[in-house]
Amino acid sequence: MDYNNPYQQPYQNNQAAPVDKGARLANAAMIVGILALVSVPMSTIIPAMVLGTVSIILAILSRGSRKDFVKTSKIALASGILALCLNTALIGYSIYRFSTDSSLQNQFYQNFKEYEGESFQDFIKDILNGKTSGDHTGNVLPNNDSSL
Amino acid sequence: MNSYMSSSNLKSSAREQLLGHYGSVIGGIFLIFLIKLSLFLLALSMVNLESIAGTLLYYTVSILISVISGILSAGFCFMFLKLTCNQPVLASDVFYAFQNNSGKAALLALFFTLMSDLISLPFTIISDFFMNHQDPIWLLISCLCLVLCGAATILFYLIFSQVYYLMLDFPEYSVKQLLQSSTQIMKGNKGRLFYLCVSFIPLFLLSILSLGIALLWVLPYVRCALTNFYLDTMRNRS
Repeated sequence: MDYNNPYQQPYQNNQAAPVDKGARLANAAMIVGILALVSVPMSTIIPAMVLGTVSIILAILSRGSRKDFVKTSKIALASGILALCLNTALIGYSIYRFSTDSSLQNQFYQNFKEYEGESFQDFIKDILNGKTSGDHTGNVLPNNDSSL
Repeated sequence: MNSYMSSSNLKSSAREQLLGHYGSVIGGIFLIFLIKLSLFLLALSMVNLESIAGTLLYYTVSILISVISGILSAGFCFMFLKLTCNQPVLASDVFYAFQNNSGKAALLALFFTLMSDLISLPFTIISDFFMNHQDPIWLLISCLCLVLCGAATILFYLIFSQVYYLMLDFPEYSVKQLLQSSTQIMKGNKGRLFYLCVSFIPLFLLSILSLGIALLWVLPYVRCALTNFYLDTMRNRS
């Protein structure tokens, strides 16, 4: 089959692009990575996770066709990975503290009961039985059984 | 003698080509996303899924949305062909196939939609049967069917992965010729393309962590590497 590919010639000339194009993306990656790192001590799980991941991906893409990373990309990559690791450690520590500290558990159950109007255990049972939040509080959906 | 580019070379070229063009490309992705979302929401708001007629209408509208998505996908491929050839790209390039070869793009999209539905039909029937009978044996059969249907779908998409690029490169070809050409091109190249696609899995996993935001950069990277794969394959054939 005779394929006269019009894209062939420009494609071959496409390999050498200006270096500073990647530098802009690397700078953006570094800023996002630093923001991710800053957001970790605030104990907000999602921003650190999102920003850390985006900084890693931007750092990888900013490499272009180079084998190695430029300095700003390395900083972005390191800060992104560090932010994700610290975030994971923070979540792990929170789960560990909650599972071992009974006073923390009691405080959580008490706050939950005040907020939801029923105990956490009942709430979980209701969810497993397929009841919606309106069913057990009786505030959102009308309860047909009570009217009978 | 063939001298195909390696997967890492295709990816590094894609990274280089995309530098300085992310704005237009992400704009194109946003346009496609907004159009698909608005069409889907419009279809959902118009159709009543509780009646049989409503369900049928819903599936008809779904196929129509798939066809429009296919035409937009052809435009997306056009955008990346331009990008890989050092031509200026615009976000509005995604609408290219609406003006050129829209009929062929629509037919190809319809073919993809119907064939993927047909391939997944055995799994749909068996999983429905399991849901009605709750028998563990049917669960096992439906799992097996899922694996087989998944493998068949992957093979199908690998074989016909180049049709939109071929449509843009050879506008004089009929739909049948496009499908045949794609099959011919992919002979001996399916493994390469599969490996290239699999190599993006870590980036997709990272994108899940970013709640999908990182897909704005990952999707152009993947599409650009796939376009480089097409050009590399064609260069080796000619």
